Amino acid sequence: MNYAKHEHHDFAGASAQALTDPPLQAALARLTDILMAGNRRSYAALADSSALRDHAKRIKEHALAHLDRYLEELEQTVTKRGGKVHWAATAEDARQIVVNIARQAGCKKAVKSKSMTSEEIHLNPALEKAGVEVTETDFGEFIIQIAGERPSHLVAPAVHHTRESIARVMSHHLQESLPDDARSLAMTGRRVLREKFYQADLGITGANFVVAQTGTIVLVTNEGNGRLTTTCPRVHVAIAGIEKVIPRFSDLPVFLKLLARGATGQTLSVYTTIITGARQPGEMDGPEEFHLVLLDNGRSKILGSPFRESLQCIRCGACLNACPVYRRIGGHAYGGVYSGPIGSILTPLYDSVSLNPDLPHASSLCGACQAACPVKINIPHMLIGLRQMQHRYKPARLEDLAYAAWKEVLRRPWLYRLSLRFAKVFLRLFAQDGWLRRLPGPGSGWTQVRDFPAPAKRTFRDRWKELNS
Amino acid sequence: MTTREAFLQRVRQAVVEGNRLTAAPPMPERGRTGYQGAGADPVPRFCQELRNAGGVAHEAKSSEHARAIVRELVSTKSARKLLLSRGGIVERLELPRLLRDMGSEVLIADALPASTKDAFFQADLGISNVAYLVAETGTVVVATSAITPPSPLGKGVEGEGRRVGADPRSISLLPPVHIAVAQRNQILPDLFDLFDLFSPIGAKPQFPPSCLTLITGPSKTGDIELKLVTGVHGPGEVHVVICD
Amino acid sequence: MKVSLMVTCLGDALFPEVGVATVRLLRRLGVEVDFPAAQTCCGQPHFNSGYHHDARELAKHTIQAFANKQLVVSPSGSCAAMVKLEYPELLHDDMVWHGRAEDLARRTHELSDFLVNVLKKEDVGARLEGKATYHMACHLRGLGLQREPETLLQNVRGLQLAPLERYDECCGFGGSFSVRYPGISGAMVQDKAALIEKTGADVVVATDAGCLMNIGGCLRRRGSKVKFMHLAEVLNST
Ligand code: SF4
Repeated sequence: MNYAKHEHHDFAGASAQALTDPPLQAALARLTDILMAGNRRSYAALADSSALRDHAKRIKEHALAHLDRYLEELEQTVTKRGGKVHWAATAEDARQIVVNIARQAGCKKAVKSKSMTSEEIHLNPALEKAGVEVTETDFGEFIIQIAGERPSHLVAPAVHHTRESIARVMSHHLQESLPDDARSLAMTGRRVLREKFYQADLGITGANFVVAQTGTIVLVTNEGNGRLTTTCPRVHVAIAGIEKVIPRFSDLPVFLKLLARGATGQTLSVYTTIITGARQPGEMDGPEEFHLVLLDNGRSKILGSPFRESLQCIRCGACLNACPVYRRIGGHAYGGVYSGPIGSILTPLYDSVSLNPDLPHASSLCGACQAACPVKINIPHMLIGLRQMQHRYKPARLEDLAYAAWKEVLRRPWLYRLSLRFAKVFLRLFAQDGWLRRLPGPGSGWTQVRDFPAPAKRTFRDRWKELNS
Repeated sequence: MTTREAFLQRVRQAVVEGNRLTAAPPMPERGRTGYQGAGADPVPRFCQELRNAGGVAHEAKSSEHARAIVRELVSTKSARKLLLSRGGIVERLELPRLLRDMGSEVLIADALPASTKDAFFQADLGISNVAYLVAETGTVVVATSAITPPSPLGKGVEGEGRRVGADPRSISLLPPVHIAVAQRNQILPDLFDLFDLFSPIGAKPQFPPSCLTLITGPSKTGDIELKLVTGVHGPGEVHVVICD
Repeated sequence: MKVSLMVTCLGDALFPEVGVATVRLLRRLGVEVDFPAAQTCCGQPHFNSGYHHDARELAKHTIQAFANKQLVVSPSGSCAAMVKLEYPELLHDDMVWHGRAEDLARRTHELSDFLVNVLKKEDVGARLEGKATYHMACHLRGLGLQREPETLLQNVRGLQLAPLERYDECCGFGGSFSVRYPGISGAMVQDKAALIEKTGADVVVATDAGCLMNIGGCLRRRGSKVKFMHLAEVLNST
């Protein structure tokens, strides 16, 4: 499996189920209200935020347009600082590389800080098969791991859980009965995970940013598990998609200023951990070995395609929080590792355009995602681009013919007028004071919760003449 | 072809193809874009931002005052095992002696054998120096090795030449309470100022320390119904004592 | 000043009174209006569904229909956005049509944009008694028209404006989206209708026929007392 996605995912079914799950609906409303208020407040408070976002976007554009060069520079700088770079063309390669590192260093117990990339390559089962115990240490990810689920949000993986369900999952896992207040649950998490950090000999992280100029990786967390993961174990492996590379050290603050503001409204997340190589001589703590696994897994394919812009994503989750569709259906309905608007682009691109026909349509193209995105990714355009691409992958269907026929009508004003007249006469037969209570066929869903307007008795065209008399 | 070459070859080709479809812009220059600064006096801005992030700022009028603040914090936390950084302001304030006199067990981090992680894990409170503070965000910057800022920007800490920093990672991480002691002149107005310290000299990159940590308030999680709980992994309390 | 009206296909067929109000309003403000009869639909449905080839033909048809060099005013943010933002890109590689697309894009204005930014009128002398609330159509975000409609509404005499919670959240229309995913779209419009009712307004105002048919249809089904009006109708009231 190259991209962790439920096979035969049924988007329509999963989203319908989500819509009728009241606790989930409450959690999603809370999440999006709180985080979006933060996003708006902090963009407004940051002088120049729009210009800074444009600047961040240009840095990413530049980095991607010269990525080959920057990857080579990165390899040199990482090596200079005593680290080792590994090249993983596929998810399978990446899994193998990490397993080998663990084997060679004799590691048995791994702690992981939240990493969507490792989620994408399905790392945990591979390590466990190789006899390495893996513990997710982000509190939300820990819940997900012991519940045997997938994250439902880029930065709030357990948002679909309630206090009660977290208490249930943790009580079951620890075989003790835990109270369901947030503080004691979190403190129990601290106690249990501290033990894991104490024992761990391998720390696995992703990377929010990778700097070519200095061989630096950056981890952004609020809990501090990223710091513990890169402080306690003697080996550190970071896995990063190649799109994470930015050119210079001084480009980092541009993104740091935007990431937390966009994601939660914080000026900075609590911990920004900036790592350049392993522990240096004379230092008291930190890992003895540093490995950087650079992952392609479909990214180079996207790099050379019209969807390159999607590689600018810094995984902040703002587009999920802004999205009215995500707000209604949550992350699991999307069926992939990445959910929400950006997930609707990444899943088809990483997995397969033809096997994911629903996701590009799961958007009203309202543009709230782009407005919230720290790097202003034009998500609606890419969704449309994917829709366009789909037409190439499937045989012509009724829908294609209908659109083509409709276009032929619209190109001929006389035919357009005629069709309008026909539709009007026909539809008005069923209307009550100008509205239809039920539409047939594909329109029947629309009229479940709302009426549909019948064409007016006289079109604007008809009334234009009288306007001039 | 090796794996590495095949990998890079694929990227190279994709770059060429992609650049045909999209623009390949030059490296943009930032200029003053996004620079927030901190006004005439960065101290109040720093304190305000730290408070917003849930941390506590203490402004000390004198060394004596700073010592009193630290003593007070240690005794209200009833902290017994203390982990301290070597050198810097921690030593200039003679905190090791002060706290030992109070009857606490004081461990100076780099006097420990590297293998005893137990001492790190058992400490109740950590007191560190800082490399810098950032006013814009209320951030404490700690570094694993000394930073030598290019003049004239960095005045550094008096008495140590221009070298600032050098704290083990654990002190500000493992104990449930973290106290950072700093001097006013360690405050940088804007996040950009911090990163610009590492601008390459000529064509030669300046490597940052093996670990540079930006700490902005106490450890937090919102994973339980978005209610903020502090101290889930890192310290639940962060105090910054700023000496004049 | 002379302008051409782009009434849009939905406006033509479903809400002709919006076009009528637009013409009367513009004339009252001393603007001459004509209606190029060849116009049909801007092609947005085709574009959004990924039928770019079809959309291109409809774009050319529309460009031809409005080839008279006058400013074009449309009581729809969505169609104005299609012309202004998408046409030039859609016809980017066409030596002949790209320039014409850019020309039409420059000449085209959504109604509130035209009133506030071209005519420089924030007060159009309208009067309407009652309490209204305003829903922002999504395409105004793309056009950068966050302020204009509300400014115009604030200056309507007799009209009290009640703020709408999440006023800029999509109502769930999205063209084919509302047909393909009526469950999600339905949940969105139900929330929208509930928030509108919560304001206690007599009328909800928006700038686009798509929003109005969706929100209006839902309010009707809910048996709500809240009426819906297009911005042009409000501004045309005296
Ligand atoms: S697309 Fe933009 S908003 Fe969405 S996760 Fe990526 S960076 Fe954040």
